[in-house]
Amino acid sequence: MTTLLRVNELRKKYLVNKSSGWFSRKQVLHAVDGVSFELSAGETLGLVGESGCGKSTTAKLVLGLLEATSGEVRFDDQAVHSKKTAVWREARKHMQMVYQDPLGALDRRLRVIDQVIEPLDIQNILDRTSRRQAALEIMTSVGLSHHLFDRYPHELSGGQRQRVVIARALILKPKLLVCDEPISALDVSIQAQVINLLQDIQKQMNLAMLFISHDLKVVNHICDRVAVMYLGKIVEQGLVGDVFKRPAHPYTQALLSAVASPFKPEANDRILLDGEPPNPVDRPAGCAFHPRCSQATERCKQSVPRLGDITNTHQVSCHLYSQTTVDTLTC
Amino acid sequence: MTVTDSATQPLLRVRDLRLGFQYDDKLVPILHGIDFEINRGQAFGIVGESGCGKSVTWLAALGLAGPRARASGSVTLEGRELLNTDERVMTSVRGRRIAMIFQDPSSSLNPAHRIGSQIGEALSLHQGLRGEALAKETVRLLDRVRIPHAAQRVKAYPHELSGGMNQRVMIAMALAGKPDLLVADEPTTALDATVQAQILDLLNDLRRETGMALVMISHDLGVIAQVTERVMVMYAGLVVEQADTANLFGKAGHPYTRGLLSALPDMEDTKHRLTTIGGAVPEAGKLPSGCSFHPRCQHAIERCSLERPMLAVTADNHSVACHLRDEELS
Repeated sequence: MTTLLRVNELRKKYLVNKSSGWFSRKQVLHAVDGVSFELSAGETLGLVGESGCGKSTTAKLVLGLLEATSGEVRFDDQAVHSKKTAVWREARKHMQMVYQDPLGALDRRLRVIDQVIEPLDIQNILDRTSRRQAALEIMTSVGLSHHLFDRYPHELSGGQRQRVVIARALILKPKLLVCDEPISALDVSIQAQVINLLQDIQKQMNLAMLFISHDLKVVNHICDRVAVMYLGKIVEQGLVGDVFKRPAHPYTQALLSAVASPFKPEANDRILLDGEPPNPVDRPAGCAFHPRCSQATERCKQSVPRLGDITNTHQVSCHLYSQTTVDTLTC
Repeated sequence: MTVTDSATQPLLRVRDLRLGFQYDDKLVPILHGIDFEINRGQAFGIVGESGCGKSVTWLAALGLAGPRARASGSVTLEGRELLNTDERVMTSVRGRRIAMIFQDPSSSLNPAHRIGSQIGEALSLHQGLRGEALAKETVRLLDRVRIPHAAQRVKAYPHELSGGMNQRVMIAMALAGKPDLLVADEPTTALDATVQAQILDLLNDLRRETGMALVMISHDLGVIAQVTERVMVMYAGLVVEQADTANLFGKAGHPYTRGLLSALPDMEDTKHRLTTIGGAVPEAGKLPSGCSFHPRCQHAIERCSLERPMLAVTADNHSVACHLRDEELS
């Protein structure tokens, strides 16, 4: 497999007002703090974590919708910039996204078929009749029936709208699809339809997918690899089977034990974390997770752990694992 | 009423509850005859997709469904009728006998008042506390819902607290009336996974300590499985299945319940393709004839489109509203 997307030490800082007042000080918020990963064609990487951990910011940086403070995103061996140049436009043809709320992503005043054609208009591909033909084909292939094509978004159900959004994302035949919580706004019986659809088109088009979700059950089902984020950093990543079956980081362990499944209701060994994710502005020193970690030591309060290998398909950033503690002295 | 009566009688009994909303000359029916009972101290779950009527059942029962609502049937709390009764009676029930918490705590709290005074308001209303006693009880309640540094937090405003903390404040307010029944409407949907686990744990403990009954409304079957003892599945304004929680997830009877369960991805290794339920939930007022699930049901026979199935007890206090029997469905 060839690597399609390469993200290296990506960082995004924001300056925020600490408190309102006459002499408010600016503070730095590290939304994304040194994130690195790779993604190959046909592969799905899940990005999980709680709200505010930087999942969506990472996605926007990858797509070049935000300017990174430092670090690099390379797509198809070319750097992705946020400057809207011809190069950017060419690269964007191959990277598309699907968001959580389909009604928010669609224009309420345009018929859905016109919205699916729009990317072709913008990129100036094909002539008018072929554009319409291409739209008809892609809309049929995502399971929309013909009588829906000329409707407006409000005339469709939630699941149908999300199919329109997916059709629009696919019409340019992208290589990378970024899905940011694509099913959380949908009803349970509709979620399965959209999950199956995403898996089918991925196989057909050999798409690489960056799949952002807080639902670990869905991530387990759809992803090949997974990266767990906490306060802007990846704390654990690897093959889904490794990370979800043998979670190494205490945070991943807690996240997994918090999964409420109807198939194993009596989870007596449930790990309940104290407190909530801290405000990213007041990032704890050392390992950002140490105030909520039951196994934290003095060392966790002082030095920042780095991602290190446990096996060659599984990395964790935690002082409990000796492999990762070797190079922390350099921090 | 004798003592033995109240011991055997359910806390809340709902019989043939129907609800519609009046728009000009048109009545849009939402609930089509709901029956269920909740016992003292029971943890009861209501599952269903958006628009199936799971929340509006409670708004109707508490007389909060608004001026357009037209309700019929019966909702009795320990034998006393609640539906379409005097507003004064309802005021003594709401908050004091039946309390409710909602999905989004920050929109239920008043952003301009300190949380201490909002809890205090509920306390003075329901328990008539004043002054020192009120302040003390407020702190005790915050402590009870495990808000750290309760004595200082009474002075905080909702925006200074996180979503999980605000939901704890809502629970504290609900506890102020010492209710017999707490209705939690999607209480953890807006919260993060690790915080959701904390709130569910808290609700479970509170129920055990106080002996109040808990109704958990959720679209998340995992949450329901974890918290409740008995579950009712709703579809398009009707109850399609009711059973003890373990039985429902172990041997679901209705094709809709089975569909919901097999549509869920799980943490298992085997990555089978998810089984989907085709189509979508019917719109309110445009229900299909007969069984409202029949257009989406792969087992539907002719009878399903003609005749609405009634809830029938199969075994173990497990009731299913379906024309087909077990062996015909598998």
